Amino acid sequence: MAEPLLSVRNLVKHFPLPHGVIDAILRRPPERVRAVDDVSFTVERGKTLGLVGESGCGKSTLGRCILRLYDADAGEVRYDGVDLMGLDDAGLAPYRKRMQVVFQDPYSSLNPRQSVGKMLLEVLDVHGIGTAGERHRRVIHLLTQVGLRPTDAQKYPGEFSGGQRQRLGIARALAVEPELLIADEPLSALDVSIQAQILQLLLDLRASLGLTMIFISHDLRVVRYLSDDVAVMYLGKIVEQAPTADLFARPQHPYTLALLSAMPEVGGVSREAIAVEGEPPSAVHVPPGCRFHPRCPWNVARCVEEEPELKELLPRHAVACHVAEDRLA
Amino acid sequence: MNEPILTVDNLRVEIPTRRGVVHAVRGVSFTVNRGETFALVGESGSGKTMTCRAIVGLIHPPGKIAGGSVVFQGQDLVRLPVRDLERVRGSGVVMVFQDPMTALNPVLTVEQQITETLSRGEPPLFQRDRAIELLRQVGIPDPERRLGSYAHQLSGGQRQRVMLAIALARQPALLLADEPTTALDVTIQAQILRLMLTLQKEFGMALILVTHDLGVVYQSVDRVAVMYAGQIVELAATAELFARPRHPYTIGLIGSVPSADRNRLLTPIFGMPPDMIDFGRGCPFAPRCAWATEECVDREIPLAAVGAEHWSRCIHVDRLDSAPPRPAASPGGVSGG
Amino acid sequence: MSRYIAQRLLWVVVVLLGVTVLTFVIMHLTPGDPASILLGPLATPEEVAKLNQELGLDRPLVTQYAFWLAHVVRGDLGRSITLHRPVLGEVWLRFQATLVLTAGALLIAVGPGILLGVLAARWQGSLVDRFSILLTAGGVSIPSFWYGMLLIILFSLKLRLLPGTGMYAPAGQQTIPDLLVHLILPAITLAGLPAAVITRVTRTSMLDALRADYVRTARAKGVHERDVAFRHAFRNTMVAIVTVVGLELGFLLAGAVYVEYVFSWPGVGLMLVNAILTRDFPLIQGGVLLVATTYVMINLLSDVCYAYLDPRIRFG
Repeated sequence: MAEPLLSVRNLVKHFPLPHGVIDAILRRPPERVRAVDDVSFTVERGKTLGLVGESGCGKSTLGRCILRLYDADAGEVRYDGVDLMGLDDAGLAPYRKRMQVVFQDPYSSLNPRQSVGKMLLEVLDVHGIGTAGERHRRVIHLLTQVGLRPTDAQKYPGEFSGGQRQRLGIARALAVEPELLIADEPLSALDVSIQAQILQLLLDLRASLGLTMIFISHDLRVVRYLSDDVAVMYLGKIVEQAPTADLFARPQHPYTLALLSAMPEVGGVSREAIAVEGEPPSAVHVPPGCRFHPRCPWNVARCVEEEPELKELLPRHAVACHVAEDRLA
Repeated sequence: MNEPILTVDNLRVEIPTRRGVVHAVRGVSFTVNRGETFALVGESGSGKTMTCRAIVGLIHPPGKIAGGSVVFQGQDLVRLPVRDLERVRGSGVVMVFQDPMTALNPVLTVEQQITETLSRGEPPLFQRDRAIELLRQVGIPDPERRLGSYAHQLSGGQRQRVMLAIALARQPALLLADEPTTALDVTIQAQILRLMLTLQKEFGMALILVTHDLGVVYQSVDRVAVMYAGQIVELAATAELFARPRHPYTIGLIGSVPSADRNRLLTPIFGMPPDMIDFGRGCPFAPRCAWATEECVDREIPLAAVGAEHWSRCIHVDRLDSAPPRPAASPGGVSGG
Repeated sequence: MSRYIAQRLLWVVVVLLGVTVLTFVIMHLTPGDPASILLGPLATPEEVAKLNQELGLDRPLVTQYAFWLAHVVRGDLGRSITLHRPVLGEVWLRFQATLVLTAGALLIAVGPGILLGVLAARWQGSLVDRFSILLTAGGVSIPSFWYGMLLIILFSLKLRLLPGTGMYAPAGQQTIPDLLVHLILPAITLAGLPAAVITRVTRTSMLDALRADYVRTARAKGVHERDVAFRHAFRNTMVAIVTVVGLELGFLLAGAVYVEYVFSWPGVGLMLVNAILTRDFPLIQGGVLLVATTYVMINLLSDVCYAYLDPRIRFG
């Protein structure tokens, strides 16, 4: 079996909170936001992993650590066998071409003072792709690939709609012909019908370019449509991971069940509502034991004492829950 | 049960801008019955939010209601003087907004914002008890302590609950909720929605829910109006709408949402919403419609009955069951606009 | 909140120390010394040196500073070289005069300023609004000393309505009515800029508040427009106003120099000008320390008010 394209192992990223003079005098311990806390997973070449969770679960931070937009505190990120964590800027450069990202906000991720064509040319220039003539042709090709017109190259981002700008974001990401595309909530800022367009575009491009993708989203319905495997995150940890069909047919973790029942569907069977009470806690004061236990309807004594490990309880289906483990044993 | 409490007739809202007049709402008519859950579905620019704002009279100048009537409990709200309208707001009709972060006043306590709506005649202690009771009803734990809280001390879900408590303080007959859960986390969304529907039953309120989430509509709503470019393009009972959609836009919307059946491909609508200043003639959806013909852009198309309690603004309803005559552009293809 | 105040107090001390050091260094680096000025241009170098020694000005700077600081913490600001009086007493006397002027200017700036700002926002685009814009533009652009002099020419010299110099009539009793009459012109002059700023900030802040989501909510609940403006919009505006007033107080203290000079108002500003010209080091140091302390304390007070008005700061 081929080695996975991306292998993340024990990744940790904490953000320290401001700690002033008064705090030092009062001897308060420095606090951190534990955004990503020991996360591991792999993505095979050509497959799509869906990373799902609500706000604050760490999925965006995880995406950025993989791209080394943030430097993780611990763990390794192996791309095609090479650990990216140990590389300096020069060593990282060739890998930057192989991984690209599409962000959520199509409005702020494009420079309003740069024409679209120039922006794409610049990307090609920075990465030293092709000759000048070839670059121009490539820009035209990219624009048509994402469903825009060649004449759009002269326009400025402000002249496009949200959906079109997202197409531009995708074009920019694809300019360097990456192998891995990380899409961080690319649909959230768009209208429903435009979401469908962009979603379909991503699917078509994935097929025609053989892309490997990590699709980050809070919307399980979209993730299901696009992904081969799904990992559910809660408060910095992966709580369940499985092939898509499996996760939706046989969800094991109570949080997954809650997410599923919280998403009403057209024509869907109304799942028994797993009522999750309470609010998502802060990632600064993480609950002891299982992080989900304060809101979990299945909460037992063991859940407070011991943090459950992510274990493979069914074929290729890993869950981090004591109750689920007992049930499936 | 089928007693109308709100009748909107030919409502029009115009907003003058530098480029020209934006016709945000163009002749919208519908009725909401007592205790009913009614949804206004559409995307940005469809006019659904403006319609709601027009109902409670909260259109910011220079925008204005350019015509039509909004009859609520026998009174035409459009023609009421401000003083009288203020009286109807809060006690008769109430509106809850999308973003709970900014909808509450940051320098006033929760108690102050709830009791503000209660009538002046009642003694303060009574008002305080009422506020505690309301907070309890919306599911806020430890309500006595929460009275003194400020907005920034509450989470998003809690703020939305407080908004609901404020809205229900005088037991209005009609609640307008403009995308009340969009800004919240998924699990909280479900909680708040469940809460709203429960409270609706308890208080016997009618609810107009503005949303773009078809899943929510399918599961929780009695009747739906689908809006596009400032008009209602289809109006029906929920089950009927999803079983037999009779307008290409509705069909397109339903086809745009990934569903439980993984094998069903998405069929996105290509193209973009029209310019709200300069529509051109006829059906505004025609440029994006796979069934459109010359006739569609020839004249204005009225809302016509296509079944029992089912109206559509499409002249080709009988052809919608079969495949479209011209294929929609490749999905995800030319973005148009 | 107490943590907030504690942090700010720490900074107060740091800032004051910094200011005194800076003043000390600047003074001693500028050419000229009190002895030469006191003794006049005909004095011999030996006489100057002798006087300097008597005054303790030949010792190293650090020693002089340490010496001065040691006295200050005991409450002794030294003696003025030119006036032969204790600095503390002199400064305090003059400061009272400045306080009166500043208070008058503040009242004129804040009262009508806020009122005009609120009205301009409430009736945006109306004549009131346009008038306010005109006034604020003028207040900000016209230098205070210039239009102070204009006022003197108009009201004192031509119309003979109001006095244009001093705090009291020279020959008469120092009564309150007399004081008030003398206060009018200088206070209006000093108030010009702050009034303009306060009006403008109030107007903008109020406009923002009236457009805010929570105001929309209040209207949607049926709250009367009048209550919307005052209870909701204005209370949020107060936060911005307090901040601005705090900042403007600082200006008032500093700007008082020009006005005191033009109107010969016997305040700290005028005192400092003369002290600097005569290199009266103890007086300069004492005066600056007082003004700095006042300025810093006012800022602290305004921050505390701000925290009180905005619960987001109070409860972190």
